[in-house]
Amino acid sequence: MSALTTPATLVVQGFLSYKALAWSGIAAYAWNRLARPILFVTMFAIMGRFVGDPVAAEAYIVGMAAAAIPATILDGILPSFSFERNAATLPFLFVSRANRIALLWARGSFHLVNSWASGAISLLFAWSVLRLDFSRVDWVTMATSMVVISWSCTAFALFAGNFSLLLRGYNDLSTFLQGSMVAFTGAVIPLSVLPPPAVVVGQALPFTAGLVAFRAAFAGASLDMVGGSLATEAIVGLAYAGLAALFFARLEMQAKRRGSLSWEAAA
Amino acid sequence: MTPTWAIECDALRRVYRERTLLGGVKENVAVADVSLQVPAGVVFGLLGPNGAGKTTTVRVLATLLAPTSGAARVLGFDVLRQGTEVRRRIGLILGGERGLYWRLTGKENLVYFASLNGIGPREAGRRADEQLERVGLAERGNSKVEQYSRGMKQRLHIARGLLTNPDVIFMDEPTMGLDPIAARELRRIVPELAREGKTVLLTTHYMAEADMLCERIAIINLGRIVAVGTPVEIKRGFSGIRVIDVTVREPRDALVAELNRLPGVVRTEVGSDGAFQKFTLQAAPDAELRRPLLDLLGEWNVEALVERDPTLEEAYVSILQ
Repeated sequence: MSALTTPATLVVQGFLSYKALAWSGIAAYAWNRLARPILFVTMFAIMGRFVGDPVAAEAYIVGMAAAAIPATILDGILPSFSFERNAATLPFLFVSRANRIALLWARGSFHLVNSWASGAISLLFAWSVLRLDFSRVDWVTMATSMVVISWSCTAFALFAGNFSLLLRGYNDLSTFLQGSMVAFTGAVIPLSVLPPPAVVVGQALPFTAGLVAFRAAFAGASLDMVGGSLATEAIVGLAYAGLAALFFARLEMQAKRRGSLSWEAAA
Repeated sequence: MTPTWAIECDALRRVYRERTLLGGVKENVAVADVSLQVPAGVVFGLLGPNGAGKTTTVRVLATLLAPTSGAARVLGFDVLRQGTEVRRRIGLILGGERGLYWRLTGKENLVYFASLNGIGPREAGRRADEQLERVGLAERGNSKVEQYSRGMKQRLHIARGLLTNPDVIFMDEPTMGLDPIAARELRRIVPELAREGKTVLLTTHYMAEADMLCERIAIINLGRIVAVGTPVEIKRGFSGIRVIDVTVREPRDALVAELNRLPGVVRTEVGSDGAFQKFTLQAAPDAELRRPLLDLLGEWNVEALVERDPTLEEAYVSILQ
């Protein structure tokens, strides 16, 4: 952390960038971060119970409760990048002395914390309304899994956010990535039945290894039993964190060379 | 060692390259060859028509664009190789309504940008209050920017540019689109900055503004500097014209053509002053026109005849045409 970035400036950057680029009021928050994850869990619970079997239903519910974490993160971080471009504030970021890595992570920080709320409310709903049996859960492992998943998914979203900056939009990208998370990571379809190329895609995505740990925690596994999966998830996150920083730096450099992002300041 | 110049450009060139659909490359030379020196502690005006290269020059100096060739230095630091050192010392103020976070209050915008520059929350709050006061937004500092008028947003841009107490300030058309009172308020701030020892590079389309604020002026056209000097030097030395205002009592339609035929007259513009007809003649500096004018118009018919230096706008038009 450079001298320019102190914990206090990080908190200020995190809070104000969240308020500037993501916060649309309490009603929008309640819907997007709390109600929508519950809706998805409910949909898949219904599908599992009435089309499949109770075992499948449980797997769907746990998978979708965990999937609330990447969904909330992607849904929060991607728009913040395209909004930045639309607001024409990029030149002022680029002309600042801000540490670019700190800038990115400050931007992701509140979304990361939000994802815990989305995951927790989904689990609470699964327990209280869908009557999922939580008696075997190892809570320490589950909480750790959520933290590690949220880290890797935030890193991934910060990486993907650069594309929404380039594309000036986030909707299609966000839908595509969230769909991929559901399809290729084992949230709904077990990895064992996916074709090999889809498994490779899943392994390249965050959440896949973390979800293995999350499911194991639900079944009562202790931390040392899921250490490998969590380490894999953390390493995937680290790779995306590096890519996010490199891509953003590259984008800034290209913008200065081509003049491609700085034009929009003067309206 | 203290650098001689606050801002220096040596043969600065910036070309935008754009790929066409068929794979070709289209080039747009925004800055062809700009060399200029700006002394420290002055307000320096960069004037020119749309597309002349003013904004591109400012963006290169502010490290937002890399030069294609040539060099640019701010306080002795190269904008390409020592960008971080340059950014530490500059403030950037762009014209327009955008570039601010509309969901944040004015003060929150300032605190955010202060935090990006490593200023802690307490100090950021203090500086934000100070700058809001300076630009006359203290009472609206806690209102959301989406509720601001254009003039208020522009004042907030200025406050942000000054937050880090920069030594060099780039102002790119800061009064664009403002009403006269708001523009006047902003013009009050610029000399204050120079008195504080800051160097201001100001681009503007408003000649009266440049004349009023700038100690030195450069006129840029088609990416090249075509004139540099004090406003008086620009008016007298570079324009190559002298101006004569003539007011006549009896208007005549054919007079413009007749005046244009007088030896030494470059251009004649016609207007009115109440019931009188008023002509503004631009003429060669050495042309003797008083007697021929009185003979042509009739002494009894001439209400007033005044010879003067051109205004900056007249000089600017003369230089560019």
